[in-house]
Amino acid sequence: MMQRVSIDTAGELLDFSAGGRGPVSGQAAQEQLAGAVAVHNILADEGVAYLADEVGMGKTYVALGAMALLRHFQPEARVLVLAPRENIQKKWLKELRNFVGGNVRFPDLRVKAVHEAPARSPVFCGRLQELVHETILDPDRDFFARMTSFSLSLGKDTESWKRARDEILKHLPWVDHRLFDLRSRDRFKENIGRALNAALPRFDLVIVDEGHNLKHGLGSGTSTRNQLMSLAFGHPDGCDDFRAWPTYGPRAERVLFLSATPLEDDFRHLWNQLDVFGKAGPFEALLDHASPAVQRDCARRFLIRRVFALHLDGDRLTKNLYRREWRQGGVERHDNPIEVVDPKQQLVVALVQKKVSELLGHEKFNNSFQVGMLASFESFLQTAGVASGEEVTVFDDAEQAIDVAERQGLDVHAVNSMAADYRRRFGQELPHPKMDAMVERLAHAFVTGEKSLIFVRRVASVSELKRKLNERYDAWIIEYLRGALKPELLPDFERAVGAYASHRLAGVRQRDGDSSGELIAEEDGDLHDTGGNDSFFAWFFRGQSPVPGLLSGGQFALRFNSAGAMLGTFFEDNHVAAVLGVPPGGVTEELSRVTGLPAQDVTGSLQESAGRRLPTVRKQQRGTVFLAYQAAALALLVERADAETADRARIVLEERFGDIPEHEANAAAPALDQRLETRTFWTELRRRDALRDALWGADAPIGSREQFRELELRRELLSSMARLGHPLIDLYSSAVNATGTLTMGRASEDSEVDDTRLIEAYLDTLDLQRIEGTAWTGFSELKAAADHFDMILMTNEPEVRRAPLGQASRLFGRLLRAQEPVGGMSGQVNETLVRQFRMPGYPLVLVTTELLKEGEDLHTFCANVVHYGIAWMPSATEQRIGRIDRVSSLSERRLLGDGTAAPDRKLQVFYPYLRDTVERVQVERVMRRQHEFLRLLHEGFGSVRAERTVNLAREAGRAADPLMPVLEPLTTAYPVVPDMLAAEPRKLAVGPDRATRLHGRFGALELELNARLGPIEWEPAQPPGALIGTRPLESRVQPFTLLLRSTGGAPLVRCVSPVGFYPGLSEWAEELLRMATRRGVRVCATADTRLASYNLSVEGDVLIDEDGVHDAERVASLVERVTSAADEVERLLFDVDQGITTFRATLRTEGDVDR
Amino acid sequence: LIDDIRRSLATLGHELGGSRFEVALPGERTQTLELVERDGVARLSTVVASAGAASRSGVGPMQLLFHNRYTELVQFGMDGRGRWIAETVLPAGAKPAEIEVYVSALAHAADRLEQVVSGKDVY
Repeated sequence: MMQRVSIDTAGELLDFSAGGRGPVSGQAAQEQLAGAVAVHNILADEGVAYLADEVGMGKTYVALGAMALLRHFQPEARVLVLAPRENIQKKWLKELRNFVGGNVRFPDLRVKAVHEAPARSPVFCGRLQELVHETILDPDRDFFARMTSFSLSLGKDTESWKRARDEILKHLPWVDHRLFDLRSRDRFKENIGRALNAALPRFDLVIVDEGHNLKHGLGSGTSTRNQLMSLAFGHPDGCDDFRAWPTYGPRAERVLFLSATPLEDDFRHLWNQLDVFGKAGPFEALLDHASPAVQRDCARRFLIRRVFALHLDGDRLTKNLYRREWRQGGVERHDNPIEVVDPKQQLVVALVQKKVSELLGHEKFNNSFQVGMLASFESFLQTAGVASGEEVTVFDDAEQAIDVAERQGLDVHAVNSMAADYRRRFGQELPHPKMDAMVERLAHAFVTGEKSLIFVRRVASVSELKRKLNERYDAWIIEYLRGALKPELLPDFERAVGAYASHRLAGVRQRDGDSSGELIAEEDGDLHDTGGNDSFFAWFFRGQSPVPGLLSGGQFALRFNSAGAMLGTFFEDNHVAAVLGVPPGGVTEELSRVTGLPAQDVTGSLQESAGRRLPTVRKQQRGTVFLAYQAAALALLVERADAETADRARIVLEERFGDIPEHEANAAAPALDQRLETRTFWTELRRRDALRDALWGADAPIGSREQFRELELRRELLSSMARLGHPLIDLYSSAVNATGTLTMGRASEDSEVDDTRLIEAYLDTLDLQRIEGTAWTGFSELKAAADHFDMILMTNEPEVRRAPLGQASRLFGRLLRAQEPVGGMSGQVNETLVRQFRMPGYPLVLVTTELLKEGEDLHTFCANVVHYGIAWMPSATEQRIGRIDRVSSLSERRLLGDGTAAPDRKLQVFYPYLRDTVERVQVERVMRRQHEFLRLLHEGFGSVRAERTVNLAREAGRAADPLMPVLEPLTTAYPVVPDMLAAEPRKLAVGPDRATRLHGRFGALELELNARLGPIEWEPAQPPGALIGTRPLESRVQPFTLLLRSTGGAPLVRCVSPVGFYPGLSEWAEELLRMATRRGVRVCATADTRLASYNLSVEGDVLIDEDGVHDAERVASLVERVTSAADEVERLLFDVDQGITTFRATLRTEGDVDR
Repeated sequence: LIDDIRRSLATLGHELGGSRFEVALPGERTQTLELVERDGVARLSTVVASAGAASRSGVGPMQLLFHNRYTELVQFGMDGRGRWIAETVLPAGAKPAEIEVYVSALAHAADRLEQVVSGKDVY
């Protein structure tokens, strides 16, 4: 039974400010908490809630808060999240981990496990079949599925229908296959929905993200998705044959909808969404059109909407006031139209207008067109999708168009023909004044570093805008390098520029387009970047060998990439120097002094110790030897230095080098020489106070693991940025200027190149950029990352905080690979590009279709959004802007930082159009509709009536009617009211000290189990929340791990003992299951399709009680049963007795397995 | 041991008929559990599917090995009659509240699999 909670109780569990490290604090954090409590309590009372806060206010976090409150008091509650599409599904998983890690105050064993991860494993379900499979395997996890999976796009091929059916029915052997007759596809799909219902468990809470996608409900002609979803969740009208479907029934106990745009036209849209889950019954008043107040009051029962506001200088600025809309069409000067001064451009505009008017004048079109569906407003580029006869790809959002002809774009053929004719006659592209003005404006980014997000409607606009912008970028970067390189290097550089021009020309001739390059998988699983010819940056700074004999930026960057590379230690740190507090040059001497050992003894000891830390290969790489000596010296300090130094060394050794294995039998390392005196970029940065403070933080001695990890992660991030993004340009020019040549040098693995000259040259360049502080530079990109480091990690790579430091370089390398100055996206989300757009640097401009209008956070470094192709639906416009209008956005930081609402500091919203064309009419219509939409959402009255179809005959000659924006602060019609927060006082189910006690008891098990089971060989360094050991069994051994976990809020210890991979397991399955029953353990298998085998283990778990009296007895009994049974299975299936060395790696990660 | 657990079950409101008792579950479903002692260890045991129903499963007994990787406190196995069964081992000194956790985990896990595999509520 779900009971209300009070805000005080909720605050004891949840902290929306994340201890001051989160994106919100103070009043905003309190409002999020109030939102979570209100949603929770509405769900408790009504069974359904709608969180409709404005875009960017953190609805996901508020929903996770409500879910946490439910789970804390009802630990067995089952939760399913339905996201609109895959990228948002992944975002939910990321946010769940961030939320549990940062916003749940303590491990309560219900929401947050003792190892700080979500207490219930999150499960990503890519397809409906996976949702079925996973919920049957274990329904008591948190499932993340997507709405589009319910679309069941099965195509024309009946085999795919049968496969979909069989994949579901194999789990439901009792279902009659005759119910799936392919002669009636509607019936087939309906019964797939009922079969899903039979397979799915009852969820206590279903969260529907971007719920407005269901606004058309279940009426005739609505999507398969909605119908199938309603059956899967047991809509009361969904089953007429309970003999065939005896288990049919509701599967969603409570439903929480999330959307900033919950309705489009009127309240029916709300009712429709509830109806998909069979929850609309009590809310019939929403359909009472005669009584707007009744409708609004009905919505208030379950819907809350808060309005975001910035408080500046005593003023309350809501979105209409902190956004600056460019409504007159211009993009250079606010409230000015685009100026078309070139006579040729004026003629082209007139010609296109004439052609479009003639076309619309045809009786088929009745002088009318749908808003957003004329292609000529966007570009004149040939559109490939038209002629294909397949699903038309002119516009990337089918939902916006009413019929297929509209989706194709009425004017596409006429425009294509005109553009081709122009190209034939004049040998140039047909000029497009709007696009040219836009490109001109966006090209400022290459000097200012200011990011822009561009939404287009037409797929072809993505590549056309991108190509034109890349041309502008190329002109900029080539000129920049001409200025940055020494004069004697310019002849070689001009050879590269010439080769690039030829290469592009050849590429354009061959493919009639650009090449974005490829990422090719290498043997180690990493991706090799081939560059491509999209831009000079891609070709020269990512490409590997564009000009024979010349050192390209891409080849140069490779020299930093691995331990064997020429500059492999350039971005490392000399940790021994840092721990000892001396600069390189005095490290060995100080090491000798601190350890009290003569210099020759230090050298001998280090050489042996480093040798053990090297891989067993014939030829050692320079960087690897450097790291081995670092680890060896730190180990020596741990052993022999004073307590304070030893503590610092231990932190570095364990955190930075903890995953380097030791090989006792190894020979000594290559001679120490000057390896401990190595200077790196970071050792030298330490000596430049101002630059160091700007990029890396204070130079305090290592004081704690957290502080060291933070500095190391910052070092790794900035190093990756410097070698993979815009800062590489300066790094490269510093290098070639320092060496005086652009030609390829020697790059052998043992090269003892003195890096110092390059280090100093690059630091000088960065320092100069810092001092000048004008244009956007490599320094400003690194500085922006340093200033917003926490935010970057939280939004882009949260896992890195938990991962071993040794993995950070690889994770950041993946994040920042294959950068492009201008990004484009249509058809499919490019997650790397999205993540890079959330960082300073490339891409500076991201051109996208409606693909990115929902869900993705793009606000961190972008304050410009451009509706290059206008959206008809106000909700779509709002969602688009919402990508950059979010808590802690760049515009918010700018405004709050300045303390005044200067116009150019506001969030800029562009609606580019040409004033003297029919596009003006279109924009006015959209503005009017947005105005009505605003009134409906904020005053709770009215409906949106503006017609989508524009009739040119009616509009001709009408004077411009620019609708003035609302200038009063917005309010909400659906606030959180005190009653929603009212609840009886209630204590949390678990207090903060329980997990601490459990950790202590768990750690004590090592000794207690030895006493009960005989000597167990425990691993020297245990992962958090785990105890790995090997139990001797007469002449055999059996490794195992113990994990401290919880179930339904009760603490338990799980024992996992691995057996190994076995391919033909099915013939042994029955025998193994009988044996498991006899022994009281679980024999477990997971399929490994890569190895065509099964990974076999024996497992069990036991609750540990409140007072801990029986811990040792219970766990000993468990370990005895599990290890004995595992050994029996091993003897049955294998000839060998495998020990800890075989299983160490998998046992160390067993605690990370989401199950 | 068994007598202690029997008393605890009674305290929790479970009425034992012999060694069996029924657990009420959502959706008006039930699951019958049996208290047994084997090799000095107390267990709760229940049937998931008859040998016939089990043989019709599209995935077969491998399914139970897959399930076992995910379940908590409960193990799926087979008995000598080819039936799919689910069991849980009760630990030393288990208090009533703890026993209820085992009872609930076993009844829910077994009933869920029974519902999916057979579409019925027999056990």
